[in-house]
Amino acid sequence: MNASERQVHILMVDDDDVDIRAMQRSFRKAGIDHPLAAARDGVEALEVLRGANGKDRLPRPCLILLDLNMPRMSGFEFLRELRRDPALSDSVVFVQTTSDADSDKAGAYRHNVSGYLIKEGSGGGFDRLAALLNQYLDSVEFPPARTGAQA
Amino acid sequence: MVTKIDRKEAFAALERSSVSLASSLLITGGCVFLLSLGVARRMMTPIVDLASTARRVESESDFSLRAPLMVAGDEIGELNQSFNKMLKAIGDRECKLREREDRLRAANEELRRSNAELEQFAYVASHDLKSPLRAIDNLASWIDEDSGELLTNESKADLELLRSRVRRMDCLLDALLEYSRIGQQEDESRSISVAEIVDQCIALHVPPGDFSVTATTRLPEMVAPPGALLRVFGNLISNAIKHHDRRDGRIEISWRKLDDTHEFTVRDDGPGIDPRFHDRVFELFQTLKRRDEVEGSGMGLALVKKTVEAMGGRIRIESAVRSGTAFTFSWPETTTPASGHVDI
Repeated sequence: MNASERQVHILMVDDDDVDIRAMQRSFRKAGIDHPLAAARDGVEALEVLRGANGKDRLPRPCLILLDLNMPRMSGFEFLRELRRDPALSDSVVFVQTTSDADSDKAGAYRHNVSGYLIKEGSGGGFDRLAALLNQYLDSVEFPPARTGAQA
Repeated sequence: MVTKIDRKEAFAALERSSVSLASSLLITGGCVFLLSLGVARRMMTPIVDLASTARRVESESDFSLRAPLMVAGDEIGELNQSFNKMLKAIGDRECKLREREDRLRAANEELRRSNAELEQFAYVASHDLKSPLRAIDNLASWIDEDSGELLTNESKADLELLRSRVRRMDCLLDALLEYSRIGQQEDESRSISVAEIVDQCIALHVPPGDFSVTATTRLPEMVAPPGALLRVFGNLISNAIKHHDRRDGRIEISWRKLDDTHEFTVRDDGPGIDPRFHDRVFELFQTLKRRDEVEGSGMGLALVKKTVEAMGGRIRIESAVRSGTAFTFSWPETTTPASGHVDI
């Protein structure tokens, strides 16, 4: 199965419902038919990724769209936890935030994110991000699915 | 009558008296020597002590030291006493000075902390206020997209006004954010050509056409953070254009050097500003026209003033109604801008 045929599960981690709806609209407009799931903060995102606390585990391959400022567990705390977990450490993550602070950009790339995108301009730039993801999902190979628990 | 005495006898008497003379001389000499030694010691010791105390005070900067008082009442004793009084006076003053210094340092620290807090507040406020604003804009545009054809023309116009106000608030927040960062997050100082900075501002702000921006003097090379200089010239030039009443206005930029300070003037031949508003133009969010007439944040000159002052310079305005406006700002030749960063 090549890149353009397989399905990638996208997990948007964002505490703003309007941003999630904006992403859904932009996905629809861009004609992206990969499923888009949502988590409201880092804690919920980890539960979805691990299938913990009664949540269905998000199938792989998956791509995470991560906001930085969130209640309970911020984007950075989530990234630290994600990179420490052997089963999740290879996750593909794009940061999507309103912050254009250099310290945030540097911090995100230290956690090996695949890209840092700023929500700005009219509509928060979601159309732009959807267009980027559309090409990305069609062209990029993801970490292979693994069987069983990882050592 | 001549008495004959034995020569030996005669000499013996002489010898005796000269021995006793010599010994009494010797004794007297010894006494004088011992006496003068005593006097000398009595005189010298306090002076030596005074000198050594003075040396210690000088080398240790310890004004609590005192010269020992061995004898009082004579001039040397008085000298030592005066010296000690002087030491006490200096010590007291030193103590007060140190207390004042401590208070000043504490006040300074407090000022620095509250400044940083204020800047952080402005940053967080403008940053966090943008998210709901973007949501409002999104929702308004979705209403338009999804059910625009169901709306009356009046509602459509209202929706457009709603979105234009959202854009205005977005600009105000950007300006507030920029304002909060001045002096905190300037780029590195480097050698730059002011003529190039002005050219960049012209490319960015001057519409093609009849408006002219010219330098009437040579413009220097100087060491400064380019972003700060761009902000100052950019805002002054774009202001002059935005508030001009003709399309063929002229802006003149000049430079002169006063001792170690550069002084630049940006002069326009626009409508001028009534002197009673001169202080107001530098305040935050101040506009002299309704924003519906001239769209602007009212932050431009506040940004300019804060930037210039953060670099250790000053800005002043000269203008009157119908006689154009000149902004003159100074910029110390070598400035080391504060390089603190607000990490959020």
